[in-house]
Amino acid sequence: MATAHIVELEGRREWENYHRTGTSHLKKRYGLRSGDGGRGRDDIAQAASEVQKWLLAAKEEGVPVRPVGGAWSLSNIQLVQNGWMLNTRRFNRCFRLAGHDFARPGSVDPGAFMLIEGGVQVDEVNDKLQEIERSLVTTGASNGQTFPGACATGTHGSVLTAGGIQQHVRAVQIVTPGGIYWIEPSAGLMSDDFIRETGSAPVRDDDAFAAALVAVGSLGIVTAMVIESVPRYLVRPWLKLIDFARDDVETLERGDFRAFSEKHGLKGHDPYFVMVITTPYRPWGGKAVARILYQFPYHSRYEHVEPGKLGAGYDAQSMMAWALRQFPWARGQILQLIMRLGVGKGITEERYGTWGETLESSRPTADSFSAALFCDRARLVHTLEALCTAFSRAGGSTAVTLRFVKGGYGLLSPARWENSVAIDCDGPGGEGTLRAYRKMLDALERQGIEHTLHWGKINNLTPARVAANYGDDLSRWRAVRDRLLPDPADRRLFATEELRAFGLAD
Amino acid sequence: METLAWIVVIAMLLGQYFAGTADYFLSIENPRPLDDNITIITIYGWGFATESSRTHTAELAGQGFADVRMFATRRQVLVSLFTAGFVRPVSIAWRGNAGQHPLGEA
Repeated sequence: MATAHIVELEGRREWENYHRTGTSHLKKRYGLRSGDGGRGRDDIAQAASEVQKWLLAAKEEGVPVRPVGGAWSLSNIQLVQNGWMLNTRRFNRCFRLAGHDFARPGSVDPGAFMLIEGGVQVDEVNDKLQEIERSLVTTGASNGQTFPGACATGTHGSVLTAGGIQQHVRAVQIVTPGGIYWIEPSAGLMSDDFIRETGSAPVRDDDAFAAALVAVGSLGIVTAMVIESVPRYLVRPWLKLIDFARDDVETLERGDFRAFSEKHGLKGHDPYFVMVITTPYRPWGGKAVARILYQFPYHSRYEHVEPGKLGAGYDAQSMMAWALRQFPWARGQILQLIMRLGVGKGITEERYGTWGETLESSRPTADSFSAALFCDRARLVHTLEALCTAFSRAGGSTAVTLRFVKGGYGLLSPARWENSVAIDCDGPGGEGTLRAYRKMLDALERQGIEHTLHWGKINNLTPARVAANYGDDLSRWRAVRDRLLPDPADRRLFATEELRAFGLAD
Repeated sequence: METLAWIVVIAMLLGQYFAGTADYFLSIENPRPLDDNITIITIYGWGFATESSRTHTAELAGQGFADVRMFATRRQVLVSLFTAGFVRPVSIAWRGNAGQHPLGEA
């Protein structure tokens, strides 16, 4: 029986991330692999020990390191230059937990929790939870990221009562050259015996846990997590091209999602998820796409259909990328036309699926541009107007998507407001779009419009901007980092160019 | 008549050019993809003489593919058009499968 181990995949090479927005010039590339049997805690203990030895070897060589899962982020946050890369995707097992694994067995339902390894993809988590009749509350729009990778950047969906994907996390195992830490809130979750058997030292501390939830890959290598799920449920999708008026944006700004749904969606039901896709040229007063999901109790008597038929993967992006590159002069009309074509007749008939079934399997979207800005929902009309005016004036030609997310769940969660809105700009890549987006961000800054940016997408973050956005939370996050990585040489191990640009590394 | 013929020829060439850059994407159900790899395979002489020697072996023994994407860049399509298809490069992007494990006990 093979145990968890690290293999050297190749020597010096150039490596590109998933969306080909950046290249790493690597000295070596390694892969972390799961064992093929045995208890989860043993596999994780073995892997953590191997990772620690690997980190110590890198430290001795004086090379920076970077773990990479789905390599999904477009902000180049996963790149490392002249360093070692550790691909975690084949470290991807999931495990059930038993009552005696918890510190207070009588007070938790062990079936609600799952232990996952550091390379497990969101899609795999959905599948495994489905097997045990459970579900995630929320995820991002794609399921190709690893779960820890999605948490590391605060990936979000648009479930009205939920925060980022990291809201499911209850414990995190992080490996540094100096230690293997099991980080939980101060109230504690897992038993001392369980933590010891994972080869970890317990860190029961609210600040450390809040820092680890959105770690931006800077606190060490995440080798395992305990996540909490909810009983499985069904969602009914509603996808429709709507006449989107300023009144509608005001309704969304007030958080009156029921009124928005009564006007544009299924009558008589509270929406679970609301997303609106519009264009920067005419954010309101024209057509927009509304995707609304309604939650229903699970039953097995529904017809299983493909994710696309449940409205997953509104895949205007690749079509848009092609059309806008060929005909940049017609971008306003193209965006409207593509929305009409992409939605077609929409989905208004009765269809159901589980949460996992509403997500499409990931596929490459070459030459894409993807950026996300977070703002206070109470300032949505003003922010959207300023964003679209500045972006379209600068020649930005992507779709603009509104998604609603609860704030919190991590010191560095970019959803900073109790009721946050993520305004995504997704479309074709290229210098023109990038330039326009940066000009738009500058314009927002000049106008004093408060916002934060997604760690894993295109951004203009600088140490000063990050400090202004996160304030005291950043100081607390740094204090945790310095506790987990007290040796400056250990901190340098994780200090990449991108993290320095964010002010998260020295 | 001659103008019409030219219009048809140009339309055919433009059509070939645009269609040549299209993506063909094939995926297993529920893929668990590893890193992306791209290989450029060039077929000479319309593929008649040397087809098998132009194939490429991916290092995926025991794992299999998660997905495969075939496309030509604009440059590759132009090379093909200007050589009347004698030189036909295509890009094959493929990702290995990470494997699927049963739900275990912690």
